Amino acid sequence: MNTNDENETLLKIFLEEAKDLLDAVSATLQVWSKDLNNKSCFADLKRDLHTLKGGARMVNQPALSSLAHETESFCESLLAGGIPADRQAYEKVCANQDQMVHILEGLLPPKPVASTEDSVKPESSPDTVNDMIRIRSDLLEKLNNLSIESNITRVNMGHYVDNFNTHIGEIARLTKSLQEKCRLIPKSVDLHVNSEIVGLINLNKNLVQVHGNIDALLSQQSRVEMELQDRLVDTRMVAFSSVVPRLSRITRQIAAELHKKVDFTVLDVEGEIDRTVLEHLVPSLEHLLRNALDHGIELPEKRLLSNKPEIGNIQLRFFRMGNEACIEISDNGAGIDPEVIRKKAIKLGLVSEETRLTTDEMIRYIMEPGFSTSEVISEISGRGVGMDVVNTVVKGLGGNLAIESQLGQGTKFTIRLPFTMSVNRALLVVVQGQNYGILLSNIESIILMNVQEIKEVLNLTTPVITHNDKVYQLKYLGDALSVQEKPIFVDMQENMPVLLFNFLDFNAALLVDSLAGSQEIVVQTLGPQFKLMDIFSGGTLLSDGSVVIILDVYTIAARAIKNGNEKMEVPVITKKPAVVLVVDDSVTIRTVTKNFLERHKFMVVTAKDGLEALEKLEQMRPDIILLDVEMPRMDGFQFAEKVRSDAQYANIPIVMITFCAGDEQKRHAEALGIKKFMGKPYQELELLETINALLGKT
Amino acid sequence: MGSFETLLNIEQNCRSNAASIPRQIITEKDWFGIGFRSNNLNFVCPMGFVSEVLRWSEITPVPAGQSWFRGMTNLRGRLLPVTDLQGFVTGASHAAKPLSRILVISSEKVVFGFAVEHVLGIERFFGEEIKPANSILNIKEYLPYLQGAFERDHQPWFILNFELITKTSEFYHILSARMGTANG
Repeated sequence: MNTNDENETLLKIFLEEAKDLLDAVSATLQVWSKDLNNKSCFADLKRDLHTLKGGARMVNQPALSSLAHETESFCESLLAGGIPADRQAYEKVCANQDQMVHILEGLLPPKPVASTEDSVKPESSPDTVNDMIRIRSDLLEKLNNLSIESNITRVNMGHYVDNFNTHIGEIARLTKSLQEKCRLIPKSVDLHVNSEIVGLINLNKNLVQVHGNIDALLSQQSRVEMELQDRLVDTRMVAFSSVVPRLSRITRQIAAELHKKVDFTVLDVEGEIDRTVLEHLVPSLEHLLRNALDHGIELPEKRLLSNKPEIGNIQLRFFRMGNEACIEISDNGAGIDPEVIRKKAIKLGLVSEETRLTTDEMIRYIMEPGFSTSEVISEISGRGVGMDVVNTVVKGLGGNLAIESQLGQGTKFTIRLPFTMSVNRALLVVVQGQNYGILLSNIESIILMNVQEIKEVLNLTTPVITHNDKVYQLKYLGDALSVQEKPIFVDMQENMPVLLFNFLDFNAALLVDSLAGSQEIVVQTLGPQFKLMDIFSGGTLLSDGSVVIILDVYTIAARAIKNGNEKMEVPVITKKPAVVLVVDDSVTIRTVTKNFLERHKFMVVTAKDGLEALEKLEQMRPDIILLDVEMPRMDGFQFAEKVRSDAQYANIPIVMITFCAGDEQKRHAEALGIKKFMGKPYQELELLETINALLGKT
Repeated sequence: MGSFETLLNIEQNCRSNAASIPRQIITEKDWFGIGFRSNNLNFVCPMGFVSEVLRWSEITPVPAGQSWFRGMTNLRGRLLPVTDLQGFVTGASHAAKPLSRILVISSEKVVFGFAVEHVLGIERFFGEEIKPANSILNIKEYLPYLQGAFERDHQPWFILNFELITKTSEFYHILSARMGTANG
């Protein structure tokens, strides 16, 4: 290898390394931005920059190495306390990082290394890069399919081997009976069959042995195939967090161009996503960020004028809800003005002057092709893709784009994508002898319920159970699927499993006949005939080759439970029932109040005194607190003081219920911001009105 | 004449009078198809439509599905939806027997399975005339999916085109009425 080749190889290695290092720096900057005094960040930055500097010198990149050096020294001073760790310092490091990324991008070959040909030759590279090669995705896809097929062949072979075993058993039985019969033949007519029978017995023994060997090999193969399948599936998945450095850098760059101040907050981005999906999605995410910066976040002066913190905030969140991966990008900027949208829509002839549209409907118009409120669009958001393209991309991936916006408050974009292409762990449940799969990620917890208790609960008009202070509506899965209305209780069966789900807008508990274990599954689509059946999210093959339908529990529960309520004409006050914390030392008052409020669709949590109420507060956040004054251990006032001193709970309205309230007490209560005094015993209607009024206000 | 010549003569005689081997008289008018039975009728489906014939294996039923929708089965690692032919057409699905088979139909990259009573094998019609099916068919529900019929030994063989089934909108409404009402 000549020196030129060697330099080129080295440079390639360095570029890979530098990219990783700068991504790491970017991630550290994220952490730093949240806590400007976080000393541990400076050490991390220093270390990464030092490595970068060394590498840059090695491949003779003076611009990069001196910039890295400069930033490293800066971080050193920060660490030593020589320079104050303030926003200015943070922005300086950010600017340097951006410049380094810029230099790095200039060094990359015109076409980014993306194809097999461009990959680093393994034989000529040191160990550090040996573990990374690039493979065409269709090849992986093919391998994946082959692996599934091989698995199924093995399963079928297993069935035949079992069959074979049955025949061997049969031969053994027949041989034995033959042997018995031969004993009955008189010695005089000896046909000399004994040696043949012995031969048969030996053959049979051999066959049993052969079967044992085949069986052992098959189970070994099964283990290997499972492992192979797992690894192949892994190759499809990438961590969502891998795009975060890129997104945060873009945000910073654009913010700087637009002279806007913004914090980019990243919330729980743990979790993996199908690589192809992510690749298609990144330009759209970038567009949404541009949009948020350009149209959302206002200039610092303007923000100050409208009583907002000078520095805007853009949040990125990646999480799983049900069978979907959700990506949320929200800003606390100006929001979308529905009036501007409406005027534009009228101008474009999309709606007529007279059409009355709700805010949500109007906002949806920004996803129309060719819709751009060009008066306010600058080159920042104009240069990329439009909202209609974002919408098309998301739809193309089988997802959905939702926009929520409040004028002056901000905008939230939520992208929901199906998980169909990925691997999941599913719980197999049995209903009426049939297996169904439920993705484990959906399930909050699984409890065993006493059969007697189940029977009682199911007889209620609205069957509900409480677990960890949360109320769940109970439904038999067979009923929800219209397979069988009531569970068939088996004698001697004491418990039945109940799966608990916490969805964003309601809680549900699904009763099943039994559980059949959990396993890794690849969800496949069920085909065009299932387009109208949204209660399934797909199907999968178990290791024995049988098909299991995967349930979309959110849709099933929503339909069975929420629609069920509407049918019963119970007034649904809010989407999510308001939670009332009832604190009273009298068990009677607690029970009466609980029953009364539950009849009116509230979720009720009770506590017998202030101390217990504080414990409950650690587990949940009530929307309103009904509070007695005289209680052991900690009385109502002491409790109210504690609550008010905690910023998290300071705004929860408190209603005091007491026998006699003196002026002194009332003043004390007012000082604590207690909204309302009620006499004991309270009038049910008055209590209900008070609660509704207070909840309406908050 | 020696005995050998006699034998040669016999051979000659046989050859000249023998019926020719069927292969030699294949004409362009010959029609091939997969023959199967459903609802006690003989059907044929043009070759090429059926990509394979599966033995009856375990089919996972789909809750809230139409009665004619048998469920999903495993086609070498792919999920195959299985529709009961008789059930889809007449409303009453056939009872699966050991001879029941699943015809795998590929249509525009999508595969569908159709459960039938019995697969008879490859049927061949020697230039027989295709007649309109309506005159000889007594179960009229099949009519929209037929492309005529052959007649052999006074037995009608109806030509069934599965694409005419997979193009109907009913075929995609596998949700049973029970669940349909729940959806509002």
